[in-house]
Amino acid sequence: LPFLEGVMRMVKDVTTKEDGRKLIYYTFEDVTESDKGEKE
Amino acid sequence: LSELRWNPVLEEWVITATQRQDRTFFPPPEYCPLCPTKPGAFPTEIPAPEYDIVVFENKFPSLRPEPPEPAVEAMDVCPVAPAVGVCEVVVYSSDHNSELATMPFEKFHKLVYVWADRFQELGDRPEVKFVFLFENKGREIGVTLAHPHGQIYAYPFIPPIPERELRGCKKHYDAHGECLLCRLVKDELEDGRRIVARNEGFVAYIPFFARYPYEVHIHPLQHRPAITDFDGEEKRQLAQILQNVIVKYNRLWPERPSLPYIMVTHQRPTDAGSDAYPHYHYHIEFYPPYRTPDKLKFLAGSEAGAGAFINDTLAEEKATILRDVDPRLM
Repeated sequence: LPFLEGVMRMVKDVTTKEDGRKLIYYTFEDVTESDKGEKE
Repeated sequence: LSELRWNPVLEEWVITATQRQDRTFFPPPEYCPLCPTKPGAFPTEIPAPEYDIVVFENKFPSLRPEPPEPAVEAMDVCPVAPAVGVCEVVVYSSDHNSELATMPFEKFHKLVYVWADRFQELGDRPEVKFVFLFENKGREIGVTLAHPHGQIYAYPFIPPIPERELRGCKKHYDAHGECLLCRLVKDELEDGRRIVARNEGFVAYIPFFARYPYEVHIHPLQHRPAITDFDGEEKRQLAQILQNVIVKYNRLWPERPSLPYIMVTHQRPTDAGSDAYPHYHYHIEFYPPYRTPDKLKFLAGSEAGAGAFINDTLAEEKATILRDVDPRLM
């Protein structure tokens, strides 16, 4: 998923409601130094 | 009941969606379906208390991933079709009393990323030909829920206005070998009188042919057919100019601090490959309905019946006014 200028990461949590409709939570997390290293 | 009915005279689909008559209409804040579910209270659309942005499929959709067969028989020259597609709601915040214009820059930035993700995912569905991201803001526009949110319609056809734009752009591209919207932006920048704001990657302006007094269009300066074509820096610049325009609207008239508007996004259809529309150019359009702080522009006979808009104002004058409005958050 895309990085916001290398400092934020978009996390997409896809769930399903009881009636079958899709519900998606988007959260943006800080990217730690280790994350950056892994990405590189 | 829900189906597509073809109008052979105008050559366009009409969506019938009778279940939408029963949709929630301005509930009191404690019964807002877009607020997070509170302990012991009625279940809303969003069980989680905290999030950045939430997207869910509309409970009262005009288009469905698995629609029923049309309930009406086609006429000889009026085909019907299932109303297949997706209608989503994009909730910007858990704060019922907020609005996009009062949110920090980070929210705009995140929203651009969510828009790009939704365009990509919905556009990848084989039945979807056009992904339309929009926001209706204000009772005057017909909004039925006050909680800040936008919407996405993933249509199984290319809607009439984008189709007309595509046709005009293709005609110019074939005749002159250039993108018509790139050309318009170049000419607007050279003229300068209708520019409202600009940054390194985008320009906001009231077009020469504006239909509404404060109609603003936002275009990327580089040729980009879709939001997924923007790099990280362009996404940041789009968020910046979007916030600039929306804050300007709210600061335009002190007596109307939350200006209603329709905001729509036009970008390439998704019925073919990403390089199938070199003649088309991503842009956002705003249509605020007010022409003065207390006078609405109605779509009356000429506009609604003939499609000929009459603008009582000059784009050059209104752009000067909007340009001079402070775009900083209050």
